[in-house]
Order: sequence, then structure tokens, then C-alpha cells
Amino acid sequence: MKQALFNPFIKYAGTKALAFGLLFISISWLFATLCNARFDGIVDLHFYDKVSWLQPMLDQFIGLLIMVLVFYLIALVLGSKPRLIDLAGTFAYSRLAFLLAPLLNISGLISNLTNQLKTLDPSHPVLPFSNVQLILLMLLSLATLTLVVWLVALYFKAWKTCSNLKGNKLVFSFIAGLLIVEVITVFLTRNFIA
Amino acid sequence: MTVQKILPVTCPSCAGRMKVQRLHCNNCDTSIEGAFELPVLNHLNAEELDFVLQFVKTSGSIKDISSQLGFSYPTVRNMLDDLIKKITQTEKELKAKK
Repeated sequence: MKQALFNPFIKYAGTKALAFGLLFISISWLFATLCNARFDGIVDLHFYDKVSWLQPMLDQFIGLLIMVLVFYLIALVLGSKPRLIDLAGTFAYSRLAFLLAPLLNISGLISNLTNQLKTLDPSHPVLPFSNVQLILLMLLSLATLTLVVWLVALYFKAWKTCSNLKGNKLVFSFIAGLLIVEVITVFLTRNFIA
Repeated sequence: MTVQKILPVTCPSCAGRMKVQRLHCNNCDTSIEGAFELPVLNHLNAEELDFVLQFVKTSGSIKDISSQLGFSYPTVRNMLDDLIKKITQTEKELKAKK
């Protein structure tokens, strides 16, 4: 079970992982459309008042495409020769971590709390929340953070399995790659997908 | 019950590489003494040797081994790459000793 959640790539890669990944992306797309969520960045999840049905799908496909290309180039530079299908499959499978994440905003839960925060008067900085809302906000933040950590852990395992790099080379190439992908995807999804 | 003995390839005292000093023929009782280097493949552990045997038996097909072992293609590819590195390193060390 632990392996299935944190290192599934020992068993799944290539087309099999890609099939699972596309299934995860499709399910999270459905939830994201229902809950007004966008994946505008490779490790991002943001909630809006209104999201079009196409945006969450395009966000994920652009993210996946950029991620595969950037990490493939990094692998080539570092002398590793991963298969593109393995990179695409394992990175797509990693989206498992965000499968249910959009549901955190069910009935506009997070959007409403965020909108309440926006009404905060800087001259009278008193949180406009009841105790219950405050606890709810903390729990939602904790859940989001856990899912992001899980997502990054899966991306790391995917990169490790596909590249077979070790030590510092593995860690620094992953950090650099993720930063590059994040910058590109945030730029593209927030500027060109409306 | 017969106990399967495992050929020790590293010294239990200093972890250095072991050599064969004595060979014996059970048929005619002849013994030969010397310092014989173990073949490169004998420097692999049981798990690695088993992998090599499977690799040969499947005609070197990574896909076939991965389905037999239940591992993904890149996992098996990585095992093979690590093995190639280890064999190359062992060969270098053995050559350097000569």
C-alpha cells in the first residue's frame, strides 16, 4: 500500500502509468470544473469564483507537456537516456496526489473564506472568521499542504526512476527542473488560458 | 538436508576481494594450489547473479524480465545499468591488480 502511494513507479511506468495518469487527470478535471479550481502551475491549485470547463484540463496538459520536455532535456544534458513515454507516464500518474484536491473547495468553501479575507480592513486587522471557520481554514491549509508534499514526492520518485541519477545530481536536477517548469507553466496558464 | 554453501567473494576481515587458493578434483583426488582470480561474474551477489541469468534466459529482453519480475521497464533498465557499472568497475579493479 505504502509503495502504491509513494513509489508506484517500481511497478508502473510507460503506457500503463500514462493510462492511469490520464484517468486521474480526467477525474480531477471533472472535480475542478465542479469546484471552480485551476491547476495553474505544476504544483499549484487555486480556487476562483468562476472557472470555465476547459481551463483545468488545459492547465494539466500544458503542465505535463512542459514537465516532460524540460526533464527530458535535463536528462540528456546529464547523460541519462530516459524514454519519453516513461517520463510522460510517471509524471501523469503523479497527478494522483491532486485527484481529490479540488473537492477542498466543495460548495465554494475555500473561495468564500478567501473572499472574506479580502474584505479585511488593514486599519482594523481583525480576522473576519468565527472560531469554527478558523479551525476549518487551518484544516484545509494542512490538507492542501499535505497534498502538495505528496505530489512533489511522487514527481521526485518519477524523476529518480526515469533518470536513474543518484546523489546530488538527482536532487539538484530535480529542484532546478521543477523550478523551471513551475515558472513556465505559471506564465503560460495565467497569461494564455483564460 | 543439504546446506547450500555460498562462495564468499569478499574477505570477512578486511572486505578485500578473495582469490581461490586451492582447487580439488573429487574424481581423482588431485589438488592444485595457486592464486586464481575469480571470474568477474562471481563478484556479483546472489540477487545480481540471478538477474544476469534471467537476462540471458530472456534473450536480453528488458520487457520480458519486467513482466516476469513484476517491475516497470525503467526499474529493470536501472537495475541493468547499475549492474553494468558494477561489472565495469570490477573489471577495472581486477585489471589494475594485474
